[in-house]
Amino acid sequence: MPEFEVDLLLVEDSPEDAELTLYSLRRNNLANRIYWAKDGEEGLDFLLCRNAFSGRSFQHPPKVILLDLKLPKVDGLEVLRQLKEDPRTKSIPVVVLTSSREESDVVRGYRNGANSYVQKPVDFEQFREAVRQLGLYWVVTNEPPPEATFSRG
Amino acid sequence: MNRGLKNAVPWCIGLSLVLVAAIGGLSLRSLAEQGEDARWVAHTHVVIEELETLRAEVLKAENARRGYVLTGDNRFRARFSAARDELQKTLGSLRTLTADNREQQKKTAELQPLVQRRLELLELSVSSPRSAQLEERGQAAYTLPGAELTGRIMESVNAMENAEQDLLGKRDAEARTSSRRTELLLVLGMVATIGMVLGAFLLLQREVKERARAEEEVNQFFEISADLLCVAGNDGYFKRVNPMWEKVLGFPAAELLSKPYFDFIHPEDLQKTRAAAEAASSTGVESFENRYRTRQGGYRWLNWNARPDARRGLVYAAARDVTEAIGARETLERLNGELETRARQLEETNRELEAFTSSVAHDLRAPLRHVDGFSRILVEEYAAQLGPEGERLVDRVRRATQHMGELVDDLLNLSRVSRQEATPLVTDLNPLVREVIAGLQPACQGRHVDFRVGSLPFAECDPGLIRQVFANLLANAVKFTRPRDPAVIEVGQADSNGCRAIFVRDNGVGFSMKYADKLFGVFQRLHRAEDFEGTGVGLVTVQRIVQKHNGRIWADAEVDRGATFYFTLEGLEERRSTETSGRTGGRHARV
Repeated sequence: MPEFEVDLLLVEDSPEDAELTLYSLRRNNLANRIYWAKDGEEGLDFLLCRNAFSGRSFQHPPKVILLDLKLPKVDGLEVLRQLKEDPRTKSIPVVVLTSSREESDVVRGYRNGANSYVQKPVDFEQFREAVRQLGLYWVVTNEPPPEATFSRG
Repeated sequence: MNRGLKNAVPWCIGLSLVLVAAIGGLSLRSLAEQGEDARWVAHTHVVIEELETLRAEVLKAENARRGYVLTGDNRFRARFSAARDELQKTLGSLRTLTADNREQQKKTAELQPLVQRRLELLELSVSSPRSAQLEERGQAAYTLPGAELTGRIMESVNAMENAEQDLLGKRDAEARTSSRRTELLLVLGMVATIGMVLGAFLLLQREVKERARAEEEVNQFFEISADLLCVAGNDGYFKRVNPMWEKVLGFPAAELLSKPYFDFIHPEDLQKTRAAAEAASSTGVESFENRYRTRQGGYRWLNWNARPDARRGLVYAAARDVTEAIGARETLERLNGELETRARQLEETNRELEAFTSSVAHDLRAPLRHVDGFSRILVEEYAAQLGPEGERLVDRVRRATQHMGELVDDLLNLSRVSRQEATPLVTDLNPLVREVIAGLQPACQGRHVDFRVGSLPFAECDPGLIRQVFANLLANAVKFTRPRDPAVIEVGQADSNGCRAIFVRDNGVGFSMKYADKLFGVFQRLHRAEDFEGTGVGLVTVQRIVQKHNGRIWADAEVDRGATFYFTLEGLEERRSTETSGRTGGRHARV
């Protein structure tokens, strides 16, 4: 299913944050192929190709995951832990995007394998700039891991 | 009674015994001496008697001869023979009697031939033929030398008798002297003995009185003691109790003495009391506590000290009623426990509150971001429809959002600072302040701000937190000196009540000390927002940090005359840091 072959997976429960993020990406022409998972469970289902996403293939992972930490059902840190445990998903870069500035959250984020940690600024200008840079770097600049990386073992 | 006198009693008695023994000895000796003297006197008398006999027998012999010569009667001759025999015997006796006296022995020896010769003459006279006897001339031949011999014999006997009499007189005198001396000694001895015994008696009497007084004293204390005193036997009975027992427990002494004391002890305390009683009878106990039943059926806590008298099988014990103290102690423990629980609850509540603050602050940020974001998008996408007034209003919305964002950030920071443990490091405050001032340069853009930083000390503090203190105070100083040209901001150290304090002083707008108490309250502001922006959280944060360093912060200000903020830190070094402090910093880092 080509609709699941995305550049960027956004795991975000707040529709406002999602819209602002998507708006910022779109304004910078970076939101060509995005999937928005509305909670941690959906994010995991998507990434691990299960339930509603059983048709998805591990061979076409997103180039980057923007992960909010405070999520209903399965929280961001748990999502991070599970996908970093699975050899088929552990190579996907994860950017933790959250409003939490708590040091403990940052530490746990990195410990669980986050590649980057970005705090959502209140100022929309700053927010937009942060999202733009993220999109630009991870979707455009960064060389994604080769396909072989996502096979089992 | 003092020790000296006490020791005198055995001395007196000892001495008396010695004296009595001496008197006894002396008496015995004196008796022996007197016996001896009497023997000697008797002896002398015997000698004198023998001498008298000798004299008498000589005369008897002469008379017998005379009688015989005159009458020729043989009876006279027999008498003469008897006298002669008697004389021989007496001489022998005298020899024996005077064996102890050389003089008398000699005299006896002289006397003997005289008597012999006299007897021989008399014998011759008696033995001569009857005819010759009557012949006057013939007899005269016997009579004349005989009379002379008799005269010499008598002389000799007299001399001996005199000598004996002398001896008798001398012995008598000696015996008297000795007897007088003995009497004197005996009298003196008796007097001394009586004195000693009397002295000992008096001393003993005094001691007995003293003992009685001491016992009376002890009894007084026993009676009036506020503690419960008792003598207990190892048989489990009280032998004696003081009146306090009745006062405390209500039982009369007789009842207490009539039952084993275990009957009065709280059942729960029986076991430990048994152990304590055992310990008390061997080594004694200190501060042992148990409960005693009162007559009313209640219990009193007693605290015991006991000491054994193993020889008599007794225990001396003193108990204090500590019921109230134990009650107080229990209350205190209970209150302490409650306090601890409260403190824990408070801590818990505080943690929850902080978590809540943090969570609220986070959750507040999201909608703010949304308001800001969407209003921005509104302006960008629909500028034409909004018009200038619409744009201005949206701008107000965005400004309000920014302010709230700052508030939330400051609150978050405050919450973080409150929760954070200070990690003290020895820190040179000079470079730290320089860095903070450097960071304030953008805020001073276009203004003339004169920073005057004095020499600052080293401090054992959390550098990150103390940086926030200076950042807040200096940012405030920059802000409130905005109307000044030049603005003068000083940082230095000062002595305050003997305590070293750091100060930050400005020549800004100041404030009225009337409101000083509001300085460190959350969201409390002393200036209008249109004059000076701010959240009212900065100084609270500063105060929280200073308190974390066991310091104190206070301010001194006057309207339009500037403000000075002082703070102390526990780890503030006394020595002023010098120019070389940078280089010696490494040395301090070990602290």
